[in-house]
Amino acid sequence: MYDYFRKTLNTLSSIGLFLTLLIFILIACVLGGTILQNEAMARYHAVYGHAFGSLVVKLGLDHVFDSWWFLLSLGLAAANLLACLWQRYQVFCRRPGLLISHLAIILIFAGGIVRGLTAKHGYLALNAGEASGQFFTGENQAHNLPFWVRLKDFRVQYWKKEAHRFHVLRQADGRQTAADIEAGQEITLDSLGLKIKAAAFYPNFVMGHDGPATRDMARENPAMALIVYDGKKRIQKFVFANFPDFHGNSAEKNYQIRYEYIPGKIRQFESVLEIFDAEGSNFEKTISVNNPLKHRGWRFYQSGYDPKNPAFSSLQVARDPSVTVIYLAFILLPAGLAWSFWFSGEK
Amino acid sequence: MLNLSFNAAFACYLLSLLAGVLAWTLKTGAKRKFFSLPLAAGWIFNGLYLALRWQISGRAPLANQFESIIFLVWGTIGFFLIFFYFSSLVPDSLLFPAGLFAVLGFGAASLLDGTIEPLVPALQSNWLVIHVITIMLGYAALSLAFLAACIFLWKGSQMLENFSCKTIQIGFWFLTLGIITGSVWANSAWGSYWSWDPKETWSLVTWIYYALVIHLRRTRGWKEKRFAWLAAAGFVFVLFTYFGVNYLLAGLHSYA
Repeated sequence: MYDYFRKTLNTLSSIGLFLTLLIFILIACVLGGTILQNEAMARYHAVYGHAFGSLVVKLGLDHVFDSWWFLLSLGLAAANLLACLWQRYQVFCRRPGLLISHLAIILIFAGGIVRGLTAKHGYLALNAGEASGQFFTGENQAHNLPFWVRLKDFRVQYWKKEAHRFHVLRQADGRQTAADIEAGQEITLDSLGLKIKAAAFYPNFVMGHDGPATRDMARENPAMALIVYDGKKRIQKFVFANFPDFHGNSAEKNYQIRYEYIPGKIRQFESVLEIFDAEGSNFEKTISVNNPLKHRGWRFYQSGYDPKNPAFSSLQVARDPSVTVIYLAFILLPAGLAWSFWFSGEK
Repeated sequence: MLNLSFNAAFACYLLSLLAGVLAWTLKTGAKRKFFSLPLAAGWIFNGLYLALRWQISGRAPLANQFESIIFLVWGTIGFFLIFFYFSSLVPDSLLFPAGLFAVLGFGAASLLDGTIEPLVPALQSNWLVIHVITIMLGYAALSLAFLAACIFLWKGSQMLENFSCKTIQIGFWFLTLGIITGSVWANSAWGSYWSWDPKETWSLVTWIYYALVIHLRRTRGWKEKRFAWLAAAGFVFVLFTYFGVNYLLAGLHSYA
């Protein structure tokens, strides 16, 4: 029995096995990092063609990182490292840098196991004013939170706001000018003898039963209702950023107006969250990308918005006890490597 | 001033090619440092360009591929000059490849959009500076390892093999730190320190590859030519992780 144990330990701790596993994991990562992962069959057919797409799915290369063989290789690598440390502990003790860096890798494996067993990740989609005591995982399964979260407000901050630019050309002499006009604003173009009023803005123009309307707030078909004063004439017209010649500019012989919609440059997405906790304090916090809310081990991240609905915010929800283990490994690994490379006196 | 410093750096790097050829052919001996002056001047202008860009934009110039290439060249030449002036590991034969690397880097950057843009929300974090600097310094050292390995395979100098080994250690260490800082940033921005995003995965591929190279050298005695081949081939992983993933694979690093 003892001999069998020693033999197994010797095999498990062999450098040859370590190198083989490293090459195997390397190849698996190359495959998983290159081939699309966790997509529907139709996507594989569209990207790789029918035959190769089907082969990818059949071989299980569409979910490399949660496949049994990949997880097994990681498990074997962890066992190999542990066995190496056990078998060569005297060598490792003489080289603390080597010991620390390899312990760090084992800790990362341990963190991965803790993550797999205990971590919870999901999302929470809310409209301003709504509250929820649940979040949903990728499989649309609802999970209860130990408190309630309410989205008080959602706003988008801009480096530069969107602009509505109008290029006006006078046919007679080819003279042209451009001006930015906000909806509701009126400007006079002295050089062309025109006055233009931007009467109404339609972010996603559609012709409804009751006349012009906007389908939603997404800037998919931006249009502006204009009133143009040309001397004594008053002309009403719609201009479309995506369809500059929609009306053929036939109504006015004297000039042409082109509408250019310039999207804003987003600076930040901000969700104002309220926490209602029966066991703790109630409080409010504004979160943004890179600035999450943390409460009782749960974290809420700003993750998405809907250009069609300015009141909507999507939050990522995470609870991951493995972070402490992983961060410890993150400290030990570079420390161990530095010790091993530059302070151990080894060549 | 910004354009001037860019052009001055480019001009000096071009001049360093000539100096590199002269240093190599004339066997300069004690005067070798004189022939490295154009490269050093280029590095100073390169640094000045980065500093000016930082001052003008009000953020670290590490937010897009153009800026990261300029930083990569600065890091690579910086490492090279440190070794060139303060160690006996770098032969004159490496002056020309280092200059060529800088010229190619600046040439590639010139093809990209260099407009200073404000940061997108995902990049508004102090981790941007720490993560990109560590990753780029890793790539810089591994680029030098590649250059040294190529020249070693051609000329066969032991000095170059040692230099390649040292720079792989430095590159591996910075790459480790870069992956770690990226993970910590991902955890603070998205709630997950690892998502198997293509850029993350390919960084890990590069890391595993160099871990393999280091272990093969230490445990199997793969030195000299074998090691040089491995060091040279590893640059393919660096290039693919840095450029290939951005252009060929979609993921969370689409702005990189």
